[in-house]
Amino acid sequence: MPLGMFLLIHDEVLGPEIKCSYYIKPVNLSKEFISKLYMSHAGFESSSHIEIKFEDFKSISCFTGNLARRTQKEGIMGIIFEEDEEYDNLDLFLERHLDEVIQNPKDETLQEIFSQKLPNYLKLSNLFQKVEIEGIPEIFLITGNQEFKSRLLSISENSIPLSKMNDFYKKIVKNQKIPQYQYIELNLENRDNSFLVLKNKGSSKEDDNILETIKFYVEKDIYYSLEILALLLLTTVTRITDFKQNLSKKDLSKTRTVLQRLQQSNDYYKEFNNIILDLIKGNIAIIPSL
Amino acid sequence: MKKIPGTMYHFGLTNSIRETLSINIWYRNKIVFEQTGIFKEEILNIVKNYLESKNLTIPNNRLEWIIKEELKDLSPESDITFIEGTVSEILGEFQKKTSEDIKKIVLMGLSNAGKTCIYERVFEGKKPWELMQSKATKGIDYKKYEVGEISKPMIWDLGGQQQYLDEYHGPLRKSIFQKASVLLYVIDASDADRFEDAKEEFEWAVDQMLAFNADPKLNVFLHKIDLIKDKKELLTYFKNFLSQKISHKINFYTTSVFDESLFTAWSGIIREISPKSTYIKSVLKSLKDQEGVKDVVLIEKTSGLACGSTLNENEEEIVIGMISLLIVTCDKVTKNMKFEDFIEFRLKTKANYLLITDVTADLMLVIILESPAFEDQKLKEIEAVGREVAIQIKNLWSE
Repeated sequence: MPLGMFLLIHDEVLGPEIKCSYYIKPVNLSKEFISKLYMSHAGFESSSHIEIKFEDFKSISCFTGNLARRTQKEGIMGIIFEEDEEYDNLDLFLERHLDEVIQNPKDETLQEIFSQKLPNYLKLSNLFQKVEIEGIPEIFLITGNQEFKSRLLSISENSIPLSKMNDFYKKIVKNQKIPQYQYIELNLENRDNSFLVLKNKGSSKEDDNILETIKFYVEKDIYYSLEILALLLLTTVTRITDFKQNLSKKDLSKTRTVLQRLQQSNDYYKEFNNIILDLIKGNIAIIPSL
Repeated sequence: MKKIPGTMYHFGLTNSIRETLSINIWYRNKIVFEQTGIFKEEILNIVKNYLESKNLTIPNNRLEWIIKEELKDLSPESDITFIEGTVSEILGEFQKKTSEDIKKIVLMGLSNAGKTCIYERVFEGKKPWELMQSKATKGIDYKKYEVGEISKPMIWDLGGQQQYLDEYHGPLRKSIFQKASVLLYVIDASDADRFEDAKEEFEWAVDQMLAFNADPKLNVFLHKIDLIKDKKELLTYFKNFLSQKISHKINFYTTSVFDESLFTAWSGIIREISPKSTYIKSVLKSLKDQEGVKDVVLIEKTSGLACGSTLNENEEEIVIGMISLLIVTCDKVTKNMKFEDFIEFRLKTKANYLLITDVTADLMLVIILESPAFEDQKLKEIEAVGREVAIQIKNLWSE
């Protein structure tokens, strides 16, 4: 179980400082760690997502980069784990909540994200590790510039090692064919060179359709890619949970899967879009029904 | 491209790598100056310096205006998204408390120059023998201190290992130097093999300070001076050596952890960045003007730094040395006796009379009298003025 979250702000005069935090167990973020974290994000590595080990803990964080370029202030939001814990696919989760915390930089905001939203997200991410998606052994989102930068989301049994990812990415950027893989470029605001990649098992035409469908929804809000993939690929084993108590009890029946809800609606596509919209608005979460 | 008012020069900006810009200056349609990798904050000084090298002086406000216009063309306001605007605004709110009183001091130097020891000696009260255990700084260490509310230095202690220097020269350059008030460059006076390297690094740091800031204070500590035989000769050498390419004023100090030189040097820096210095100076002078008062020094209790003084540099060093000894002595006499708890202290010899009175929780006033032979009535008058001065200084923070 993750131990807590923090928001760090870098000030031109004061340097990096923890602005707010929430922990379920005492965690001391030392000055050395804070300095190292900032240097790792803003220094040569210049990475938007970084994993750092310190003492008995591990931190996974994302960096605002130039979001606040007017004031020259930069922010980092991170999640703290026990050293031996492994969690995937947190980059997009951190990014989507960063703005929320920056707009309301209080311990309570982090507490809400940590206690309510993160557990659901982790459950869903774990589901992808447990459930095999028929015909799709591997699917992932990658981004970069001239070089590969980040695997934003990855669902696979045996993913391509990060050491080989740069060569893989360069082939995609050059639009070269890669045996067994198909990919499609995503048109995302402020994020050029992002690709959705699929390892094919079925026919290439069918894979094209899958990529096109996922692309359509992921481009609406990249930060909810994990949930979108679950809605599209795991409709039989996921259900909807409500954050704002505005759904009827019928909708929230624990026994009803997303698929059942979609099948029982009069307009399948309209209902699907409504779910996506509610998801992006933050009204609902998608969680495993198992 | 914009014409620079009152000249035959034109100036233009283009986007460069990693959110930086490129500057071009034309003279009669021919590019005469170009520089890439520039941050917004550097543009004014770079253009100004170029024009000055051509003996042209353009008022800052005019240059600022054309730069603003050029930037507007490059990145119209409408390009800034709602989220960027909102986030910027809110992040700005976060730091409203970063009052202008807090001054950023960049503490730099090659590895093993003694930067961290300098900090620990002055601000953490470590004794010279305790400094042997100091470790090399990894990256940047950010240290906040309050000198009796007179001055609030935020010291950026930059580790001097090569791997970090590369980072400072690269992506961290802007975050280190922007909004810096003081550069404090430490040179190991005993490490002659690396004088050239130290000079090169110093010149680069000065360039950055001048590019990002309007009127930075530049200071050089020739440190570990206790290991040098001819201090004056070395000081003269460095004054020439480091000033060859730099026209901006540089303050030089010879320092050592074994005497009060560090405290004197820091006292000067602290007073230089304090917004209250001028007022304190005039208040202390009003006390000095009293008949029988020779000099007055305002001391911070914990560090022993002189936050204000009517003494000259050499005399001040003696007083600082005495206070420094007093702090150590008090500590040794008894555990319950701390210098910062003193309410009053009188030291009377056949030739001298010294009064130390409490001002605030952090400050003490040292009044040096001209003669030890005073009538009680006269002494009471001086003490009364001293108390009045203490109240005035105290009121500085309650306002």
